[in-house]
Amino acid sequence: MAYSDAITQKLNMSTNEERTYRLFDLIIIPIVVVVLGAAFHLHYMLTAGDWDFWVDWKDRLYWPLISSVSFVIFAGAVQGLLWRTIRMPIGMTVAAIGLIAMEWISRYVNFYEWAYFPLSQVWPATWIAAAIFVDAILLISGSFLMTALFGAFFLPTIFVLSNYPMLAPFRIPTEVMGTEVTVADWVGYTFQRGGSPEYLRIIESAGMRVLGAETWFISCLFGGFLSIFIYMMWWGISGIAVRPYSRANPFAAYMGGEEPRDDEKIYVDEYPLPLPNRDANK
Amino acid sequence: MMKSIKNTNQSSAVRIENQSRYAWLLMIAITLMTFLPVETVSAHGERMHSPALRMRSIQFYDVTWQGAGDMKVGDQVTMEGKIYFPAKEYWPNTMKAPDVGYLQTSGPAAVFAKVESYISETPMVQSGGLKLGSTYSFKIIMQARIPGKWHMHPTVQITGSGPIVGPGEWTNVTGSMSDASVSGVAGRDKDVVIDDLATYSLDVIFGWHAVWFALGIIWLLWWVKRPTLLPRYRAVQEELDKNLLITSADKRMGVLMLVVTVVLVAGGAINADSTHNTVLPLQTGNVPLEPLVIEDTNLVVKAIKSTYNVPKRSMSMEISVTNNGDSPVKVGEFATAGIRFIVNPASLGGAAAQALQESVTGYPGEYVREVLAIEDGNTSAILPGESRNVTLVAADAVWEIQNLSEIVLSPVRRAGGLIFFFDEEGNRLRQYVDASTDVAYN
Repeated sequence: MAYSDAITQKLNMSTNEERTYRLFDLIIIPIVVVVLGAAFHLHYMLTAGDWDFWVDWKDRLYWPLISSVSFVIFAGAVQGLLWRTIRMPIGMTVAAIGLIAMEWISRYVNFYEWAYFPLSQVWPATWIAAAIFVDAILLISGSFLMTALFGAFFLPTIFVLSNYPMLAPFRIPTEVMGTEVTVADWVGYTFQRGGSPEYLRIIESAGMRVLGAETWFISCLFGGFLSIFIYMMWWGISGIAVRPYSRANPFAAYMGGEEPRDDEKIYVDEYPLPLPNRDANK
Repeated sequence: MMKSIKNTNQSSAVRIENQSRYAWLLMIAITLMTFLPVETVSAHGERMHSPALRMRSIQFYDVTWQGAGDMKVGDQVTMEGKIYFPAKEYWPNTMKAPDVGYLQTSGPAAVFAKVESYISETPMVQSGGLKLGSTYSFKIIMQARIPGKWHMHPTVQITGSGPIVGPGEWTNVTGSMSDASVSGVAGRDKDVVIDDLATYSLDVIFGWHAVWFALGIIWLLWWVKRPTLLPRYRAVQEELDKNLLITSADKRMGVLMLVVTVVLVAGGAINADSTHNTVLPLQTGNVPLEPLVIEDTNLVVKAIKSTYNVPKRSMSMEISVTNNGDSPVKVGEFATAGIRFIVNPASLGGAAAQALQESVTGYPGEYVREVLAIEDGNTSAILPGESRNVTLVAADAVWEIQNLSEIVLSPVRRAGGLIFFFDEEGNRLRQYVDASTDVAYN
């Protein structure tokens, strides 16, 4: 493979060394995807949970807004982390695939098998299209700022549009006991949750603040606007996370450990770590 | 100067050599404990609500279950009855007024499908406004979906307060889950036939998820097909030529993925929009609900005090009754929290006895207790124009079983409930009472 050859040859790696690194990839990458997916799933369910759990919560106003803000926190951080450490524009896609895979496992095992909610009620929305879009923008532009402006901004729009083919069949009208509702409302009515009254659903209502019928557009616009800043913030936070440093544990002696000697401590100002090949390659 | 990295965060509380040699036995024991048999839990917390709230808020009465008991998947059970909301002066101040309420059932998850539900004959697809001091009828039709033994209660949800659970009945559902289906039609022209709401449109959902998973995995494989983590980390650290890390082929692939993604997203959305010609937002809003018209009983009933006797497991309630009607009346029932304490029907005699007997027919036996007595033994009728103080006593283990005895520990020691009087013609006259509760320990 040309790419690997180029990098590993430039690094003066032996075949044996490269094979070892490849084995390391094969072991670590699946673990990373699963662990990231599980952690992201926990985060996403705690923040955008009900909007993603139930088909009759996927509304025009809050669903794109809350989902995109929640998604970009974690996915933006993973993207920043992978870009900084290994220069790969795949962070959002890794996070999205992990998240959606975990969601499907949870929906099938927990919601369907355990609590008997039908999958038509609890299918998860997909984030993979939006994630590929932003990753591709990062790759093409090579710029964090451009990605924020032209990638993160369109996250809610791509999210809504990529899920629309799945959602639209649930938005057609039907009549339940003489009242016209959507099929999604009917699903929520039929398969009761512990607290399923419509007033508990935090969804768009015909309030004075809803102007016209442009709710999708306004919600995606505002969601994109928020996503830009949240993306930038979490990209920045991921930068702190990738800096390996250690400090002396003041409680080490109390916990059976030993106080580190001064020359064993690694401090933040020593990043990047000294590596033997750096000077040779410069 | 080169420095070696050493983990100084030794967090182990005990040095390895100081750990017990038998620690592994403890770990195995803890692991095995997770396999211990556990008692199956069939309830859903209906007895754990505060007894003061259960006795003093919504009063469910005349509840019937048609079709409950042994059922097959697809069979329907119809719950009907009445709900009384005590007047504002009696309504617990810890609960909000039921300005927005919703009718549903409490049970273990979606084992039944709700087919229809009404309050006072108004369809309850959405929430409705309810009034304190009013009585409503309700009806819920549920269809069995999942085989098993399920307990099902009518429930009224109140915004800002939560669910108030009515009395429950057991169902024993047999058959196969695959036999369950809820069908109907949808669409502007009702041309979309839904064979089963539980599997509706799943092919579209699975299809699109598969497409995006495939595209995402292609994107990841493009990158991780080459040595990934350590070589690239070193390359970044050592500031290698950036064209080695991101090649022109990578950029071409990025453009391709971007184009494919945008085309698929836009094409899918446009196609969905043209396929479904009428698309609505999710429906919200509430409906007006009219209470039932309840005739004046011509009785003035006031609760004076109540006492819960712990060792005797009995609640006594002293009430004053003034009969302003033109028929003698007798006390036949005290109902609270879905429990019906009735007198011996024979003590009412004639049509009243028959009316009492009929009123409890079909009600779950565990909630009907024929233990209601009058303390001084004076069971004579209260005559027109007469005022009398009556102390009702209901002694039964059900107070403990239903956790209502927890009133002794409640921050609100008050009991409420419905008292049903019967006249000689068998007419049933309902009155709500509410009194503070003392506790006796002997």
